[in-house]
Amino acid sequence: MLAQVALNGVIVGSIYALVALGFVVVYRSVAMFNFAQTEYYTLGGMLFATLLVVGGVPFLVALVLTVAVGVAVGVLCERLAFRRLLLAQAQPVNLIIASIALAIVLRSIILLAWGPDARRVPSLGDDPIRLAELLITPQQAFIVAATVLAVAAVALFLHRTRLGLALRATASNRMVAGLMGVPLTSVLALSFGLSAGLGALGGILVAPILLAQFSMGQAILVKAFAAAILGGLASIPGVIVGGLVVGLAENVAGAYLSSAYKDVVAFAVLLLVLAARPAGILGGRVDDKV
Amino acid sequence: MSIRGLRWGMLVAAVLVLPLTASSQAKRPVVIGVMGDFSGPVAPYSTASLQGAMIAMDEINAVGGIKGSPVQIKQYDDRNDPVEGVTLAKRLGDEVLAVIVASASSPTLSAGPVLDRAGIPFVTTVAANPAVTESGWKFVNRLHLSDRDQVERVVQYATENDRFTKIAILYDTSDYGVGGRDIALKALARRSLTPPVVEGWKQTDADFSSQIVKVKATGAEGVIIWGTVEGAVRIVQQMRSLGLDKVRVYGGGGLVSQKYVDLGGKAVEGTIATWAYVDPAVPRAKDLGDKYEQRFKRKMDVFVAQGYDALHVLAQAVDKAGQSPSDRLKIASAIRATRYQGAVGEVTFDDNGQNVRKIYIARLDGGKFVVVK
Repeated sequence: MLAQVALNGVIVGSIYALVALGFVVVYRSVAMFNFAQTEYYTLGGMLFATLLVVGGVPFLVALVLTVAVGVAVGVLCERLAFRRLLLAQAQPVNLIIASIALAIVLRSIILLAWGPDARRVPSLGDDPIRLAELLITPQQAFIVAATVLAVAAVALFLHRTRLGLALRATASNRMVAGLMGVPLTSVLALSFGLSAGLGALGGILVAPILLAQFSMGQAILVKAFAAAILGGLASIPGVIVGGLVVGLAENVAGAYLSSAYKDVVAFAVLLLVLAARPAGILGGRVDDKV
Repeated sequence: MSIRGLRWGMLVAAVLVLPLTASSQAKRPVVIGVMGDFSGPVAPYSTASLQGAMIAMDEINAVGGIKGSPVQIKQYDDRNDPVEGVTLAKRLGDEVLAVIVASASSPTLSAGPVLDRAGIPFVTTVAANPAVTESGWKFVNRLHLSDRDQVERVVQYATENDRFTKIAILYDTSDYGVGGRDIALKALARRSLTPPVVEGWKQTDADFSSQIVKVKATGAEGVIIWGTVEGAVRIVQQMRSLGLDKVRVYGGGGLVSQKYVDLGGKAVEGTIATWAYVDPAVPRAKDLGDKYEQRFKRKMDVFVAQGYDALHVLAQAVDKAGQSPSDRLKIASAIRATRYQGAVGEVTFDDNGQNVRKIYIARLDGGKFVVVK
């Protein structure tokens, strides 16, 4: 039983990690927390469901289209909600409040556009594959694989490309980065677009097993937030560690204690880790050399 | 604006409004509040009842309203928050004549005592917790089943027809789920049975693997799932993913809906649930179903029918008892005395305000619920 519980923890943890990755991308470029992140995830799930089921669009096309719309919405939101605040070096708390406001606006628009009902999304397969004593469905395997790939791709992008360097430089000091010739406005658009695209991808992946509904983003917000913090906000591989810790903690607690303790244990772990390592498990200082 | 300006303004307003109110005295609208969750996890249910009530409103107004007064609906969003339920309940008395409470059990149970003390007649259409009609409130009427009867029937079927002894209970931790759990525990205890697993989940939860792993480890033959359709669908699908496709699923009347079938697909086949619901052979139900699908592009479910019937029941009572807030006590008694042919069949209430209806047991077979008992 323990092995299956652990595997379930890994699957759920991957979802948390993928959503947390979106948080971290924005954090790495502008050192702010974007609470609207999980609404891109909702948007991804809803749009994908509509394209696939109502529009009859093929799976891959629907996936690419949805991510593209997610990116576009992310760029638009950055332009409308954050750019002026960011360029004016606004207080971090103002940015956070702006992102909460944006989250409420996006959620309301999604609710108005799609209504309150949940939607079913066809999956890559719901019949479990048996690996020794363990069960995993093709869709779940797809989630884990896509998360690992997305995290690796983002890590490579940030650390191996000039644009990634520009992103990190911007996080370190927006004004100096601008003076050093980093095109600030494109970097901002890029990081918000990328994080929104990742959010939408998360929604696409989980919609087949968790149903697509306007409230799905709200439901995952705190868990993904915890995963991002646990991993150390500035660390890309950290989100995997953070996601896994949260996913495993709640599954082990749910299975061996009671599901009433699921969240208690997950967040107690968060408090303990932060007490021991205030910067998160893999978190270093944000002002690293770029 | 200065005080003097304000006075002038009020005078002008009074002069403008006076003749209006005088001339339209007889046609002042009868305002009915519809309270429910329109932005949270219960939004699909509350919205369905609201939409049903809107259709009823248009029907009533199309034939001249209540003694010439048009019916008007005012919408109140409790966001499925019991605290918000109390806040709204305190406002409602001043703003509406009577209320349709399309909220889930938690806000209904918090708003109920406030409405009852204030003497505002209310009809509930979504909440299933037994306490709604077992708390001695005089102004309540429930146009929905009570879980007292539903859970008992489900447990009876599982133990007597299926002859299962190992029946797990999964419930959502709202007043709805907890109420259902408590009745199920008692019903099983009366048969000297102890459920191998009793586990809860929050309405916003999406991952149920730890609960399911436990059910699997105990070798349960059946599992009673007491929660929203969305929660139940997620659980049953995840049970299948974890290789539990042989365990029989039991649920409440909320599951008997096209939505459960559409969302759950083949994973939910074989589900057993209580059914007291809309009989398509009832002409009123068929008519409502057609109107509803055309207007809201959604399949009618029982909550639509109950919202629709609730407004008609209220309108009938107001027609008999009067339209002034001072008539509220008479309106409440008129509702209890209701005999009305609605979309859910004949509507009557017992001495506690509980709608009396026959409960069937249905099984999901090939994408359709069929009555098995």
